[in-house]
Amino acid sequence: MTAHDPRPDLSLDARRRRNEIRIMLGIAAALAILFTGEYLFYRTRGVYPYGLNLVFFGLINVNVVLIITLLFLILRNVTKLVFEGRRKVFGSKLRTKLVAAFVGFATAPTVLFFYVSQTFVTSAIDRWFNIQVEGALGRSLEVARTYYKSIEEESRRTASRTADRLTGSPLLAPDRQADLIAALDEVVATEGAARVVYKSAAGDTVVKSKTSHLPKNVKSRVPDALARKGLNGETASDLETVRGTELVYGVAPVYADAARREVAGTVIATLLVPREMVGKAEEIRRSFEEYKQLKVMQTPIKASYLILLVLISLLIFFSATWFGFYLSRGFVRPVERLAAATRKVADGDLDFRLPVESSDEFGQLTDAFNTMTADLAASKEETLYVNRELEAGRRYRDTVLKVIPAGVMSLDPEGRIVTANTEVMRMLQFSDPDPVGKPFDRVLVRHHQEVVADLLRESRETGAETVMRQADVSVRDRILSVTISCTRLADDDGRPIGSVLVLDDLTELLRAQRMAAWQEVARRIAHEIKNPLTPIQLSAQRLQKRYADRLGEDGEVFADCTRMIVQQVEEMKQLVNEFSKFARMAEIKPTPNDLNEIVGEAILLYQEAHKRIAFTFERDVDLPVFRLDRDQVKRVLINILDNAVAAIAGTGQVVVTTRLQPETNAAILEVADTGVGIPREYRSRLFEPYFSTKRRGTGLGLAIVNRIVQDHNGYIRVRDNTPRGTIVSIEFPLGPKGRSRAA
Amino acid sequence: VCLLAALLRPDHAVAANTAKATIADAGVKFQRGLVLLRFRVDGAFTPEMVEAIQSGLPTVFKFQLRLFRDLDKVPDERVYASQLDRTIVYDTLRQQYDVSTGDDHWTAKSLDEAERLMTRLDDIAVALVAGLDPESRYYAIVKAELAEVRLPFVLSFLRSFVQIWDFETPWTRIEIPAREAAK
Repeated sequence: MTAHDPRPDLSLDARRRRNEIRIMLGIAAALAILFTGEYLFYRTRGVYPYGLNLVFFGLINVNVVLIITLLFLILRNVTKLVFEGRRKVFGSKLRTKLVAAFVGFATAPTVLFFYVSQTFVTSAIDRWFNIQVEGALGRSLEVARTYYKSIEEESRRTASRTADRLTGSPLLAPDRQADLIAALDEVVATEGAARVVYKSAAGDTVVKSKTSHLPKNVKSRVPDALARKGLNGETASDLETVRGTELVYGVAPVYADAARREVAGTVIATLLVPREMVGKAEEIRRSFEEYKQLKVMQTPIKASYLILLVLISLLIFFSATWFGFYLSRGFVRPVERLAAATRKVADGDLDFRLPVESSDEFGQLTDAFNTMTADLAASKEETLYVNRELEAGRRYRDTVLKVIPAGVMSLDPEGRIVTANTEVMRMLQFSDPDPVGKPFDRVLVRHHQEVVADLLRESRETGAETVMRQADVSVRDRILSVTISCTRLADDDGRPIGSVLVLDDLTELLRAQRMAAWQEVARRIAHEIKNPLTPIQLSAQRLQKRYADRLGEDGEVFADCTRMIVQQVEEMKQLVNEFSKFARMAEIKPTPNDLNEIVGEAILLYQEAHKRIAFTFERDVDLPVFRLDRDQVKRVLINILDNAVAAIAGTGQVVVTTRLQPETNAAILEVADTGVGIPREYRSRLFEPYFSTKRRGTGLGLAIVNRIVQDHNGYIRVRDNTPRGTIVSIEFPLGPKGRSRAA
Repeated sequence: VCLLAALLRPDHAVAANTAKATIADAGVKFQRGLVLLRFRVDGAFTPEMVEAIQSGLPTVFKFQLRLFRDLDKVPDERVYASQLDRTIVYDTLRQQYDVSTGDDHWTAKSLDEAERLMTRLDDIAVALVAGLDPESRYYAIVKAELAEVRLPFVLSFLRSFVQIWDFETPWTRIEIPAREAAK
């Protein structure tokens, strides 16, 4: 198993980590810039409680930075998704749908959350500032104010009552200070004042009462401005806070006499606001002020909450969107990997395995994919093995079909050719070099079609498993004697699946049989005839010697007869010798020879002997040297040239041609004459022994030629010359050496 | 993004209440060997600011003063610079305004009086007459602005969003006749 190459993933992870570091650095930089900016902004705006707001600013900054970061991530992902969609990257559609779904699902609750929260916050803030609250707080403050006013009034009244008692009183005399103090003490005691002070018209403090009600750390002093008012004849009051104690001063003028024409001094009565009242009043004041401040800040408060809500809503929305991207990546990435793996498997890489990275459904799917791929690999291996076996079988069968000398052709039930070996294509002269799948009647000539159709019909009609027939089929210029057997094919259930035709070429066999028979006949004739010929010839010669002179006039006749006998016997001897030669034809002894040279020598003889005939030799200089029996081939050539010369009456032309035929790796020797030609009906028997068209021919010449050519594994054919005459064509196979040389 | 940017604008929450405050009645006098400036800020007390002050928010005005020697070909020489703060706090219980500087403290029963105390600066010494070169030209520039509205702690975070009742006068130039002062 080839493990999945982890390198690309590693580089991907490294890139992702680098990106994450960049994002973190960006966030840190954004936070630093925001904090610095805020610090500078507020520093220029004066003193404010910056430190107290640090947490708040921090939260806002974090929110803003998070939103900006999310926004960046989302925009980046959206851009990427758009481009991937345009490029039709696998998974982009699914990612788009998932993200759209998440955005859709996030939008509705976010908007709802924002709307509800905003409504709630707005109404809550509005409720804070309703009129009842403000009215209640205002009234409380008014009560406190009234209290303070009343205590100020009380201080003024105390001061006035005391001043009235002292106006025109003898107690103002300088020698009655002790009495005056006693009188003031009485006021303190009876009026509840903290202290009563009398100042003379000169502004000097003359006497003070006891300070029984004042706290020890608080000393009542007389405000100069207030004292001046009293000395000016006014009655007034004032408030002062000393060490957390509220002091209320009331002043009233003291006149020298009852007519009140001259101010003799002033009385300053100090009242103490009870501590509990001070606390409560302060509390009311603080509440009112806070309320008023809140009311003043109503709009900013609302705005700030709305901003917070917007920030949170955006954070939720962007988070959901980003989460959509993240989740879609989580969904799509395994699918992408699976799709890529599927493509690899489809491309034939069955050793590819996906690493199982999780135990969830995707992990199970990956595991199932790996199992499937392994099964596929095993199945493919098995199929390959079977295919190899089948292919080997097919090759073996093809080889057998190719090398066997018989022609084999199989047909399906509809008559379409399923297989056809080279031999059958040669024998039946297929018109199409690729006949498989085509009906036999489209690739065979009419005569052969009829032969095959008859055989199939006979097989069908008789029901015989095999039918056989002998037929003559013409192949180019040859007539072949073949036996054709037709065997019906059926599958295991007996359903016909076609027929197979086997053609055996018996031509050579028959010819060999005839040749052997003729050789035997020749041998016997030679044996039986040759023996008495010599005694006959000798007897005839003896008769002539002994009785020619004795017979007188008849002697001439006798001489003619005996001469005829001797002559005929001589001819018979020649005939018998020919027979003997034919019967005793020796085995050929091929040696490397130049066919052009042999042909040239033969033609030279005939050029000298037959001046009336024009001999032309068109040689192929590229013809290689190949193995031939020089004497036998020369004999072949002489026989053919003899026939050519014999066929030409008067003047004529004989053209001898040698030619290399690379497609069949053969040397072609052709002899074309302008003679009388050979009738078509004689051609099939031309090469049989004792068949001659010449009056004095033995009929063995072409039989011997044919024999020699066959011994060289060659072919001899005869066809008409144009416009007249005959062409004898001989094809000598070059063999391996000749082929290599030719090449 | 636009919405976010708009919401985060500092002056979003409260409409821009920047008062069109100006320096008025600016002048100089020489007394007791001192160069004394006076000026008044008009238009600083907007209704919104008054409402805020009367709600008890301590409010600080910042006055900046600079004295320069006017030079021809080089940047003017700064001779003196100072900043004065005046703080106003309204006591809702006693219904009085407490106006204070670093050293002085006044109480005003009425808004007009409080406003006058906050916006009127008299006899602010910026230099010794003897320190001025009679042959040089001098001038002072003054500016007033709202330094701070001290929000309660619970509202202090609003500083992030709002710029409340801000005002800032332009720099106003007061010529100092040094030659006249020397006489």
